[in-house]
Amino acid sequence: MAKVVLDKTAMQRALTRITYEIIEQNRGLNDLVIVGIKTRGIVLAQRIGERIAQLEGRAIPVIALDASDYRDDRPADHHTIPELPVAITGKNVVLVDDVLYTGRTIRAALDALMAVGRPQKIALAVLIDRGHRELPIRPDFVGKNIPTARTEKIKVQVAEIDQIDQVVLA
Amino acid sequence: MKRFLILEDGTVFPGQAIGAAVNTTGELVLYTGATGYQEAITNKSYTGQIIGFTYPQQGAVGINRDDYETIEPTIKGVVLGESYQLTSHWRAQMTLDQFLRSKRIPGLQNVDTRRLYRHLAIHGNMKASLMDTHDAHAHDQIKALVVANNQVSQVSTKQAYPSPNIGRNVVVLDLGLKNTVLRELSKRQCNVTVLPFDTASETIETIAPDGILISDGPGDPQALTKTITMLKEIQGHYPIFAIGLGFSIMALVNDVSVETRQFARHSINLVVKEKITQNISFTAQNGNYGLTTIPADSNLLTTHLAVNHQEVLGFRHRFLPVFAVNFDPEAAAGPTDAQHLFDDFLDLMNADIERKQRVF
Repeated sequence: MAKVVLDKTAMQRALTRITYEIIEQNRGLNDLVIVGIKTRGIVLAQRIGERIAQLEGRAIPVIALDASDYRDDRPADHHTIPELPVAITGKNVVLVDDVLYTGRTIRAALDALMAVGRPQKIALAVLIDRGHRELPIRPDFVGKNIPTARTEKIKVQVAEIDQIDQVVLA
Repeated sequence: MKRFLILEDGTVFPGQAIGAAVNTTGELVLYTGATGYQEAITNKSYTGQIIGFTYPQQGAVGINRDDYETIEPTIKGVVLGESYQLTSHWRAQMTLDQFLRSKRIPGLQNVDTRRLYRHLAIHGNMKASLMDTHDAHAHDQIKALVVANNQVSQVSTKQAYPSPNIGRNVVVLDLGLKNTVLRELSKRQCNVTVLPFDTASETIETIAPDGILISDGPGDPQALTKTITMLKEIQGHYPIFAIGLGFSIMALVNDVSVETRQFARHSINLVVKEKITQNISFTAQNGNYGLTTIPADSNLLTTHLAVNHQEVLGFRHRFLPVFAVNFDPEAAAGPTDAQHLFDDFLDLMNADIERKQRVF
């Protein structure tokens, strides 16, 4: 049985709080770049970017990252270096994804970013942290911690792709 | 029996006496909400004030046991269009008139409250009295009245008291606390300690709460110098959520000056926009002080704006876990649109605890 663990309002509130925390931790916001990990991470990154723009009255660069080439279940010998529209060297990057699980996706994203440039700092924002890490990776901004069993599935749905905003535990 | 509402500028509104047969003086404010008279009358934010209800009829559902915001009301009087002599509601225990008599609060009805509204809309809030006569002496008396600015010390609890539960440890700084604020914290299982407004920072450090809520209350925030000094020491050490008068206090703590609010900000249907999401909420407000803008170089970030006029109704500290709203999220009376702010307060405390646990 699928169970809604975060409804639309709760999702909005979680993203709002993450946005405030990002502002709290990044004085000035001048060097801030928000990087969304495909697919739903990009949508969440855009929403955080819009929120900062509403509050501060100016746009923060939001870019999409496809790190699938860097995954550890793919051959390690031919990585295509991602092309990013904004330079990330020296920047404060906030990496955004929907669910943090084993940490392997984030590891791949970090490698992809490092292949492109040398950020001053990389922080991690996730909507859901479901535990079961297999790598020493931890989030800086968490929407909600949801303890899960490995057999369970967490699905983040966003209106832009799934026509509904909710998080479902199945 | 005849009675008179005498305004500071000499204007007299005659009417019929209800409630207790006593003469009274205070600041006249107008409450424009259609409902919520029991909550407003028992709201300590109106301490020392005479509340004029602009909605023509009040008291239809009497007074019940559930809607008290404090046990002993601290208002000076009420001015009404018409009050119901009979109530028809299953919760009603007594009529509004009976309640006013029992609490020694005088009232006046059969007043043209629309004329009163227009008068105050032009001339602003003013001192007023409810008197049996309107001779020269009564006029002199109201002119000479000095409105006290120690309302908070009158209504804040004299001693700390607990409101035990099993969740987060919360300190509530009582500047004129409403019951519903405690109810909302209780609903979220917060283990609350209510402290007097002049509590020393050492006391709070000893309690070591997970968060602090600064309540709404009556009077001028600038008079609360001791509270402001204490909060300057405390700010940044604990997550803070401030409401109403607490909002003004936290602005002053962060060196943003407050001003007297425009007329007609006492109601239950005032529209607020949350900047970050552009969401609209209908809220209850009753404060006499607030902010029209926050200077750009301030550490405070505007989070909520009034929709129908220029006013800042919510802010957040840019770098510290502090947020404040100049409306009543507890919504008693009023719409419950903004009750999620109590959840936000819990989230803020939880995030703070998590952050402190993973310092490296």
